[in-house]
Amino acid sequence: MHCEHDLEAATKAVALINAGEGDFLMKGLLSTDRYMRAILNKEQGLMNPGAILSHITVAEPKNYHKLLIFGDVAIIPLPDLNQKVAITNYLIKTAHFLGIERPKVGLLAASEQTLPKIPSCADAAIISKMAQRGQIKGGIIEGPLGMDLIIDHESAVIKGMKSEVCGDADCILFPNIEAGNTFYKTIVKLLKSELCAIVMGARVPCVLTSRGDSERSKLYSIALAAMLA
Amino acid sequence: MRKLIEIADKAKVLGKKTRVAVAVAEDANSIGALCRAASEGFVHPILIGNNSRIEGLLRDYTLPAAGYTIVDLPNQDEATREAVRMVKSAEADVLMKGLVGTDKFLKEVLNKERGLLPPKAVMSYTCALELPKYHKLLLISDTAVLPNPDLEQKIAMVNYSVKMAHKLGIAKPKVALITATEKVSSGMPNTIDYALISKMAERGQIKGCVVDGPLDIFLACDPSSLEIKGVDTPSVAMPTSASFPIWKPPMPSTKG
Repeated sequence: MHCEHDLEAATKAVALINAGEGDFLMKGLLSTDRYMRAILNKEQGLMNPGAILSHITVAEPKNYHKLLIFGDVAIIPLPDLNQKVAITNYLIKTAHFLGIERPKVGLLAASEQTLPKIPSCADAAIISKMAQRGQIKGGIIEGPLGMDLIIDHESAVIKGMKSEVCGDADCILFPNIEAGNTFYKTIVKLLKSELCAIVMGARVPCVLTSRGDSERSKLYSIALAAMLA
Repeated sequence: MRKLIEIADKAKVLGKKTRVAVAVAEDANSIGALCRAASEGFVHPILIGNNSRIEGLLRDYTLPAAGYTIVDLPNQDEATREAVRMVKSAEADVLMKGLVGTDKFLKEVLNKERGLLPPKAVMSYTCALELPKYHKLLLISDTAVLPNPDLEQKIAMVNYSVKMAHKLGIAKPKVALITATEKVSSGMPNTIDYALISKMAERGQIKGCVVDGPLDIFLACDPSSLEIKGVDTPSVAMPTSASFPIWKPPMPSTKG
């Protein structure tokens, strides 16, 4: 379909979704802000009122025994409690689609101690209690946990942490974009690991690949969106 | 522990004589209780106040003169100040309020120079209840001192209740953090505090007890409501201690 401008193309793509002629949205050669603007447009966009838009990554990190699903590394800079709960639910939903029945979710914080003055610790404690009360369903949720406890079983043994999430997490909730984005870039650039990603919270999944992503990574993102659509 | 009388029995067998400094020891109930405790051998009362009034009240009891001490200070403020001073200087072990207003009494206790409160300490009130339809004693706090405790004060309240339970011989007391619901939501700040406290206990930051919260009083004290609501908190189904976020709800039960 011919469009002169990139925003026009994005608007057209979103319109096709809303008309039921497309199952999910994908970003091509346009800037992320224009792409997002088309999604977030109040009248013609893809958002339901009150929905929280968030970015979920599925990575295949070297030195880890399974895929890792994590967020948010791109959209919400400093999620509040409600946004963290929403992201946690997206992580679990993604895991379910990948066939993981009861995904183990580690809530990342600076320490495994519940330190009320450190927001990442406090929010993680609150979210894990919410899960205990059945307010978040479909996964095993534990936090606050340091990264060592989330991905390394031995650290958990040494520290006497008995949660089954420790050392065997399927999902990681990051407390802020700095932690998440740095983790994302570290596993891509230092560990040369592959990953794919998706934007959740809109009426359909949206593929938001970066221009620097490999063809394989884009393929996996498309597959992930197709699965969730 | 099922009955309050067991606390007195336990005090008796401890085999030590606790010195009690009584501020304005001029009411019959206080003198009566102290004489009984003294004759059972676990207390040495130090009765501070108007000498002739104290002796008048003592006439109803047969306590040997060696069993108590009288300090003649007819002025209420002076009597209270002296009682606090004695505890502070280790001449007495326990402070007790007699026929003096709570405000005067606490003013001396809280006095920065002369008082008994270490810097930054939290003062709170824990109460042991013997409820006819509950199968054991229930410790509740705070029913009198902290009107609306913050997180740190709530943690202090839990620790005080746990300490008291330990002293009563309960090795691992079950602590229920009581609010209106068992669900955690940011709209109800007490549920947030309770989620934090129960996680802190899970992480070993609060020791010597099992803690769960938020819970409502049904979930805390009635196992059948756990099944109905499907809440998984078996270890706390029968708490030894309950912490209330504000002191209005428990007041009716403490007053009888």
